[in-house]
Amino acid sequence: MITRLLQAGIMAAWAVFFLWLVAFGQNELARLLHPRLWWLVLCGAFILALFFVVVASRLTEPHSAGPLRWQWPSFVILLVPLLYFVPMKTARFDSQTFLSRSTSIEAPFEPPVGEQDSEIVPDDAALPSQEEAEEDDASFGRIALNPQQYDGKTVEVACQTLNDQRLPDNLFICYRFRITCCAADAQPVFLLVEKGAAAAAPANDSWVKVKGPLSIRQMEGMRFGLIKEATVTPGKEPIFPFVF
Amino acid sequence: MNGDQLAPLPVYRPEAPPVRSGLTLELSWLAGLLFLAVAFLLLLLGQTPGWKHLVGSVAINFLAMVVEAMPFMLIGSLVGGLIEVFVPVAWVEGVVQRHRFGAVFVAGAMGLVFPVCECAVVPVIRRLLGKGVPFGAAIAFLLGGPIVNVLVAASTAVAYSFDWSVVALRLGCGYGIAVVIGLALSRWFTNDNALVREARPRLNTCCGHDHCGHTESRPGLPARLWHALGHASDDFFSVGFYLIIGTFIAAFVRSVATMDLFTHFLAAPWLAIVLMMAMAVVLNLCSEADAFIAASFRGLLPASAQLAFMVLGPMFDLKLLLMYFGIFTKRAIAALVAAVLGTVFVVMLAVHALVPLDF
Repeated sequence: MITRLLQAGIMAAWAVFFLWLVAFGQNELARLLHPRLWWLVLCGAFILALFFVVVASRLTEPHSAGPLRWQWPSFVILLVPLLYFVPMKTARFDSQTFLSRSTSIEAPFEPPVGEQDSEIVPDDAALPSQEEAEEDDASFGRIALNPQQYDGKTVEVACQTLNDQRLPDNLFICYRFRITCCAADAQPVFLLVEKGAAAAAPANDSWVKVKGPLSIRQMEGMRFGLIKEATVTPGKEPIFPFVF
Repeated sequence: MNGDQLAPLPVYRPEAPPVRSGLTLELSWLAGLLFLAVAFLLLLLGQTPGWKHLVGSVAINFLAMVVEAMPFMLIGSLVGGLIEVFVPVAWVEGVVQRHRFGAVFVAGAMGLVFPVCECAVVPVIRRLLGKGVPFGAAIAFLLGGPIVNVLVAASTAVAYSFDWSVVALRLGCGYGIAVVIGLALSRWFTNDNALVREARPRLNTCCGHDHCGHTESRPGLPARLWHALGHASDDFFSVGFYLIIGTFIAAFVRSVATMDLFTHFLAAPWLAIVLMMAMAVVLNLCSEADAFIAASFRGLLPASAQLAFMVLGPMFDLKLLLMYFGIFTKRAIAALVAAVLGTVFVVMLAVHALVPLDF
């Protein structure tokens, strides 16, 4: 009876947690899972609710789970993720995560590529308009991953900041994380930002909005987007902190 | 018994408390306590400034993996329960066991028609083995199913900018390795010596589960569905806590291991392959997502090392290792792990030497 009650309780706890995530905890769910997989959570809640009904309807029946004194650790283990939801609510991926999930480039920063190098003809038909790029927050990923396509255009992006000592003083990193399925596979994507000479560097990990013309910089043969003469204003953490 | 006849559902026959999934009950209990102690200690340390960032990172990775993987495992449990009730043992014996050799080749590609991820495949395999599906065929599906499927092909294509050679190599290597290991292990292992008692095929009609005593002898569809749900909920408890422990370890490693840790050891291609295999084991990524991580190493690592990461990840990682204890004996797990690691390594060395790759 007690074993059955515990099993039913665990299933109920998980079903309620999943339902809560989808219905009321979307801010938290957005920091865990790609939105296209949110249906999975709802599906999981439905299956758990079914299991709960089955187990609850058999509370008084015998079971083959073994004595409770041997089984209780496995029951508590099933609840451990729910306890970790408490620190998860306030935790954020930040510049430390950025650095640990990036591969370092040891070479010194190279000067801007010449006009000839950066003269990549954009495919305007396939590109979002400048207004769309400015308005669409999700465009950060597109701009950071394909900076050549936005070369010379004015862009506006929301991102977190990182002042990297390997960069010149007038540059900082504007980063976000790109996920495919969940936060565990989050990978950093970034743009470089050239702030005005008089402007102070924003504090690490703060959310900012950056606006300015995009150009291309080169490091170790790799090209990165650089927002020059950028206007940097404080911003808020978006509901979907990840880009897709 | 004909497949189209309703099999009488069993009379409840209580069984002795099960030996926990390939581990002794005492060892399983101790391991559980140790895990709980570490998990609670880390949670408490997270209240101190020095540990707050690490524990926060572990919490995000841990919850993200669990919230993604658990629904897949539940779906797998549900499918396993339906297989248990609706697939007659006689049908399995008639169709699969007559073609033991051919079944391995078919099972390796079953993911194409029945796409499963590595979290869902474990409860399904458990039920298929219980129905008498030969060990070799089950292993081929276990290893091949999470790679040889349309979803993985699509994500790999997107990650590698629709370079179809990468897709073909990944799926081809996955299928070949799954079949080879399925055939090889079936020479030494059968359902009798490779499976823990709860996962073995049952000669009597009683499933041995808690709900058997409450089904009618000739039930209708609702009763059979109810019966299937009973099996599925049992599987949640049989496999679920291994999933939690595995994802916790993976989340911890994901939080402390830096990418530079891996890339600083790339002096030789074979070393790069070994390191990417190690990364696949400890990161426990979803088979849909791992291609994107592998693709981020383009230009840094040889193509064979990227491929090793993508082929090994869905076949073997920490959480899968722990989930295997719900099905296989320790000896069978050791053989399976050694075969998977060894074969993937050798195949990737061969690919590196023989196939000109430039991704």
